Amino acid sequence: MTETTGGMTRRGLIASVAAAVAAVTVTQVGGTLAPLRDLALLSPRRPDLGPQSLPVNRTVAAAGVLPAATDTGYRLRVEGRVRTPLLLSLPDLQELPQSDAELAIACVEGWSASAVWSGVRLVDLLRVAGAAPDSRVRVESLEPIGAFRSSVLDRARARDPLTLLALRVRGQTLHPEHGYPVRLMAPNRPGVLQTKWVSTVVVL
Amino acid sequence: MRADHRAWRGRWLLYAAGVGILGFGAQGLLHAADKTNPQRAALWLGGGVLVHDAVLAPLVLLGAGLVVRYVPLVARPVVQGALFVSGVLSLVALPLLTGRGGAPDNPTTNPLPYESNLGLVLLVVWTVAALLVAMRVARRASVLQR
Repeated sequence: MTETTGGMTRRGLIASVAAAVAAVTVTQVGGTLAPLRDLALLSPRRPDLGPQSLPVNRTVAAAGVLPAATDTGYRLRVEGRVRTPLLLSLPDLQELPQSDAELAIACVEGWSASAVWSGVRLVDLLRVAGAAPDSRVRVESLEPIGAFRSSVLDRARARDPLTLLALRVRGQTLHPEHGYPVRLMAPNRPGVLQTKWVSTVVVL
Repeated sequence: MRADHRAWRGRWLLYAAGVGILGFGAQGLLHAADKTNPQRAALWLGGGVLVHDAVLAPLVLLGAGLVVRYVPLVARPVVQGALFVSGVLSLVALPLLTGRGGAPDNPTTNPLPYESNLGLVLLVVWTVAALLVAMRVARRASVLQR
C-alpha cells in the first residue's frame, strides 16, 4: 500500500482504537476492581469513598427513613410461614449469635465494593422462628415506596450461612446511609437487592 | 462467481441476524414501556446520530484540516492518534465534568476532582505521543544517514 498523505495508516488507526480502549479501561476499572482504584481517575465512583469507606446508592434522605430507622421503638418483625412470629429490638438482635462475612455490594451501575459485615445469620433467625423448611424469604425495608424496597431470597440463599442481617460493617455500627439498624447482605446478588433499613422478614 | 454468491449469501444472513436482534430489542423496549421510556430512548438514539453528524463530525474534519496544514509529516500519524485518544477520554469524562449522572445529595457520586484528573490523563497521553514522535524523528535521522 502506498502512502499518499503520510497520515494515519490503517494499522495506526487500529492501534489508536486499542490505545483509547486501554486508556478508558485503566481510568475506569478501579471503580469495581479495588487494587486499581488509585487509577480510577475518570470513574463516577470510588469503591473506598463514602461513609465507612463504602459508596452509597439510595441515600437515607431520598428514602425518607431516618426517623423510623433511628427510633428507639424499632422492632424487626419475622412473620409469615413461621411457628413463632418474632418482634426483635436492636438489643435483642445484638444478643443473638453474631457472624462475620466478607461480602460485596455489586451495583448494577458498574461499581462494587467489598467489606466485612457482621450480624445475625438469616438462617439462625429462621430456625428461632421455626420457618417452614421449604420456604423462600422476602426482606422488606422501612422505606415506604421505592422500586427496590424489598427483595426475595430463594430457599437456598436464605439458608446460606453467609447471608446476614448485618448490624455492623468493618466493626462499626452501620451508618444510616448503609442501612442502620439492619441491612440484608447476601453473597452474589446485585447491590439493589441488599435491602437496607430492614423492617420485616416475611417467610413465604 | 461461486465465491461471489457465497459472500452475497453470507452478507444477507448477517443482515437478517442484525434485523432479528434489532427486532428483539425493539420488542423489549416497547413491551416494558413503563420502565424503558421509549420516547427518551428514541431521543437518545436519534439525538446521538444528530450530534455525531452535526457537531462531532465537523469538529473532527476541522481538526483534521488543521493537523494536515500545521503538523509536519513525521509527527502527523502520532498526533492524529493522540487527538483521537484524547477525544475519546474527554467524551467519557464529559458527564463527570458537567455533574451529569451524579446526585447533589449523594457525595459518593462523582466524588473526584475530574478537571485535574482529566488534565493528568491527557498529560500522560501527550507525553507518550511526544516520546513516539521523538522515536520517529530519531529513526528517520538514522535512515537518512545510511
